[in-house]
Amino acid sequence: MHSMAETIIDIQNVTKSYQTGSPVLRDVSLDIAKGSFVTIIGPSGCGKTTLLRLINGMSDFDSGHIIVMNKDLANWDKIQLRRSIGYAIQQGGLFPHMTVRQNIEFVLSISDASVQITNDRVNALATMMSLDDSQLESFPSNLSGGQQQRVGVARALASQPEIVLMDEPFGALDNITRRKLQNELKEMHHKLGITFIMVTHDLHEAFTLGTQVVIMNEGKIEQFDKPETIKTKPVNDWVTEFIKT
Amino acid sequence: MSEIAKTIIERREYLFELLVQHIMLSLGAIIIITIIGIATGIAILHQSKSRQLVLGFVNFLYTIPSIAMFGLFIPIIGIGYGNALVVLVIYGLLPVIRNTYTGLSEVDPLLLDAAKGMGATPRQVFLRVRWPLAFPTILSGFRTMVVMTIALAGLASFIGAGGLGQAIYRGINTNNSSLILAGSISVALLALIADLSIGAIEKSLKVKAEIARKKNRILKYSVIFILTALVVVMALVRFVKSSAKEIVVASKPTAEQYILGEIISQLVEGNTDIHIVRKFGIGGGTSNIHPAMLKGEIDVYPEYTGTAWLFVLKEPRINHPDSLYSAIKKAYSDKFRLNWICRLGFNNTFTLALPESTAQKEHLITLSALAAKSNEFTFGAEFDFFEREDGFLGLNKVYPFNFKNKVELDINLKFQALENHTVDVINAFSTDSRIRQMNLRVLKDDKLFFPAYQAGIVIRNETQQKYPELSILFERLEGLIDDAAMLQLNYEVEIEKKSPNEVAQTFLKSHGLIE
Repeated sequence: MHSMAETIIDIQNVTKSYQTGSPVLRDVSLDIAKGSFVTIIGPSGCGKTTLLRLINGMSDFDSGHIIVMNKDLANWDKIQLRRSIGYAIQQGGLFPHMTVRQNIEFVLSISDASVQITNDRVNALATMMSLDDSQLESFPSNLSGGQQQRVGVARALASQPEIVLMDEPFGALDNITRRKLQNELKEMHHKLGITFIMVTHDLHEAFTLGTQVVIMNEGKIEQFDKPETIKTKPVNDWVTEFIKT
Repeated sequence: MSEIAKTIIERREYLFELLVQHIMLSLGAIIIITIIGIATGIAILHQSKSRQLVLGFVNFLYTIPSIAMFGLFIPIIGIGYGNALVVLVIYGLLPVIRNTYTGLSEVDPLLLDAAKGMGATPRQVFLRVRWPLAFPTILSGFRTMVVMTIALAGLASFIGAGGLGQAIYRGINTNNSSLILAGSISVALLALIADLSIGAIEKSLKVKAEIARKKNRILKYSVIFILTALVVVMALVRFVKSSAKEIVVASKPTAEQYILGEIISQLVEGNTDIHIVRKFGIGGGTSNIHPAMLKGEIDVYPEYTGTAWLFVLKEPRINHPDSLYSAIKKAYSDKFRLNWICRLGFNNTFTLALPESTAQKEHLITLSALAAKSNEFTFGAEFDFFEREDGFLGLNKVYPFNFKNKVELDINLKFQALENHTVDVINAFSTDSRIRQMNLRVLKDDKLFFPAYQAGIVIRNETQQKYPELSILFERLEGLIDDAAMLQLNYEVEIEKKSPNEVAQTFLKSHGLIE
């Protein structure tokens, strides 16, 4: 997983603007290696969520190229692309009218996976996330905040994706639960060897989880490096200031 | 209370038939409203311009008084089931459209985004996330609509669409309070049952624990099953009935007309295998029944010669009752293809009445006799009567009255004023049951001032051709009910509180017309 690593997502000179106001993304380029854990951090409004949503076609852009799994985004069927990329959002985004099991199954059920495969996957994920049967059959509102996030992560993994996108998945949790889930996620990354890309506003989280960290400001990538490199060699004063806080 | 129970038991068949009509009407409306309402709610979800327009328009419709709305469609659709259905649908749309739109638009965008981000197609996002999350809101709009529709269907009898409102309306018009209550309670119960059933479904959606969910699923399915069974049974009842020979008999909303309607209906039922659909107590009387006769929605009804000549044909007065009848017979047949089959015998016209005791003492039989002695009497009538050329103004030219005093009275207080001796003579209709109740004498219009309002039976030419046995039957009623007989029948219904059904049956039996 060093300079020789295979590229899984290649973002080339992407620019995006809203109809009015300043650009949301300015000439962004990012080469993400297969199997890495990339965290994206920056002040609010810097464009980090937009950058994440480019990857599964949830937000569009004005110019540049994005290649995901060796295929230009323009050539991807968006539905197929999204089904093969895991997606977890703030507060889990669990469907309150479905049981935990139905939530985890969601991607499989919309893509007509067989009952056999569905049950096997759900059981495997439940074991991994230590969710017991009664929890699987209950509704999300009966679970604690931490448990809900676990279900959110399990749901993102259900289609066995090579890439998982996460938008501040642990944002609403207390510190102790958050640290615990961060550790679990880190282990999972080692075990599964898949690529994680996560937006966060927590510097500690970004540096703990990320094998590489993206630091963004006003629609631009200020620095993209290993955490220790950023700490020891920040590229400019802004980054120096930002990682101090 | 026992009065009401008695009424319900005695008239259970009548009330059951009305209940079936009420449910069929409400159910038809509910199904149409649900389909149109939900489709519209979905259609306007992403169209902010048409949304303003649609919601504004539906809101506007909702503010039109319902009685007016029923009346509004009579010239376009005519009377009966179709009209009632249209009005009920128009009223029911608002809660369904509004709640469908609100429910769908208020789903947390985060959840829609999550579903889309996981690769759900727009259709899957809608069916699996947006719709189920909006469903409780949509269901509560549906619940409001169902209760409202059932209640509003009570007004449908006003335009001849039947339903439990007919019992209420008939109760009002025949002064029968236990019938009014029986009808009202039935409507209320029906609405309550519907409300509770939907409430149970709503609750089962809210209870989210697994075990409770299974139980409620059983409840939900049993409610659905019962409703389905009900619909099937009623559809069958309707189907069986409509496949038979059938004619529609109508009446105006007065006790007298209900009795005549029953006499006509039972005479046919007792002597033929023709099924009778009763559309009694149609609001607006002739102005709504006559157009419906022309359209073929009604086959037979009792009418008065004076009304036919002056109101329908709008011809200048003919004083002699027999010449009037021949003129009407010809005009109806030529112009409308409607036939007057017979005259029943009585004349429900304007007249002057006074206590029998006074009349005997003063030897008063005719209006001319009264005019000669009028300076001894005080005359009471409503304001209206004094002002009309076909009322006192004209009357006074034919009979030179010289009353001691003339008093203007409220129409409902006339008989009371007579009882209190505030007045000695009043104007009245010649078959008003209070004439018999208070033992009044009706004076003979010896100079034929008042137009004749002789009751007769009008039938559509087509119906008469199709069922020739009807003419023979109806002719047997010719001259059978004179003023005194009609007074007696009205008295039994309005004062003794018997049902028109029972009174008609006794009358027909006593004349050997039915068994």
